[in-house]
Amino acid sequence: MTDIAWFEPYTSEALLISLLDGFNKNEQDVARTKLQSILEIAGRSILLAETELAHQAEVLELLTSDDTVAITDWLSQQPIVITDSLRERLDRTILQVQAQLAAKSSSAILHAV
Amino acid sequence: MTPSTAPSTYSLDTLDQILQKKQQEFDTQFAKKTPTTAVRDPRPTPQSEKDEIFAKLQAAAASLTVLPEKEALYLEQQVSDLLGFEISSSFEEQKLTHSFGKMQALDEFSLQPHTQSEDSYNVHGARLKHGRPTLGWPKQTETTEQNHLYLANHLVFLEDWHHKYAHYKNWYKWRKLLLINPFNRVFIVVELASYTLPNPMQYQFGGSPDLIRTSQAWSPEAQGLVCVFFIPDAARVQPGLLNI
Repeated sequence: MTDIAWFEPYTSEALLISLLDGFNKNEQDVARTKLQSILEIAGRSILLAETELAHQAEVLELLTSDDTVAITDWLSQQPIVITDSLRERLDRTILQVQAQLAAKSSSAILHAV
Repeated sequence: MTPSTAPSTYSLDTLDQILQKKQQEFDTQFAKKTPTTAVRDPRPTPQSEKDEIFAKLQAAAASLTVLPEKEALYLEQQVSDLLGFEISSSFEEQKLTHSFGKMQALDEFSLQPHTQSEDSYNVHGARLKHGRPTLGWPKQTETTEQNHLYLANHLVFLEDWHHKYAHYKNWYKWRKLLLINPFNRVFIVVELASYTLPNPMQYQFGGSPDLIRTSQAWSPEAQGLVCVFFIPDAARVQPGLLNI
């Protein structure tokens, strides 16, 4: 069984699959790994922006600790507005990445034509 | 209709570029919050080096001077190594009016509207201030009734205070600072409670009665001269005397 990253419960699998479908089959695993790194960075930014300045270093240390249990536990103690915001903004991140990839892809097609 | 072929698929290179850009943006935005003290232990400093650091701090405090940038950075680095956590004369591009100066003994700061002098312990010979501190009443999360180590700095002397005072009041309020009495080798984590001083031309800092006593700032050697620095990673330290 593989470990679930702390941000995965807050991302839409349907959106992820729709993005990964845009890659060649043999590239999808690599693309998923890269996309997860993007989502992890986006998740950290979102949570740090919601954290009071005095506690940001502490939260950053937790979020970069790779201790999924501790992070999940900490997230479960956060107000629901924060986790809702995290969910919404991670979904928006996937859509933004998809838009950027699509823009590059169509520009490549235009150049090819 | 057949699905689009190779040219229409997304590129891994582009995804990689997006990842790098996101990482850069994150580093830029949150670089200052990197927990530098988390992995650092106080470095065993040889006695001769300690003596040299304290001599430098004494000289700077006694001359009430502003050190050249390189010299100041080197000194801050040396003190940080000695303490095991980062200190700095500026933080998030903000500074105090002075890092080195003379500390005036002030009244006890009243921390709640209902505080009476009899409730406030150890206020020997110092009145309790009638009004609230100039930076306002603290929230419970900002400071505790048990902490009586408060510092004042005349921030009105900051260059752009009159343009940005609302922002500054909020930023400096109850900020944790490190106060060093280099003459008696005392290190104390204090909180900034007031942005005015009764006599700012003669003194650079003000201290609550407890701070004056604990820091030994007015010992015959120190004569009120102290050094004050920001603690970037303030979440890791509590107000009080540090045992170095």
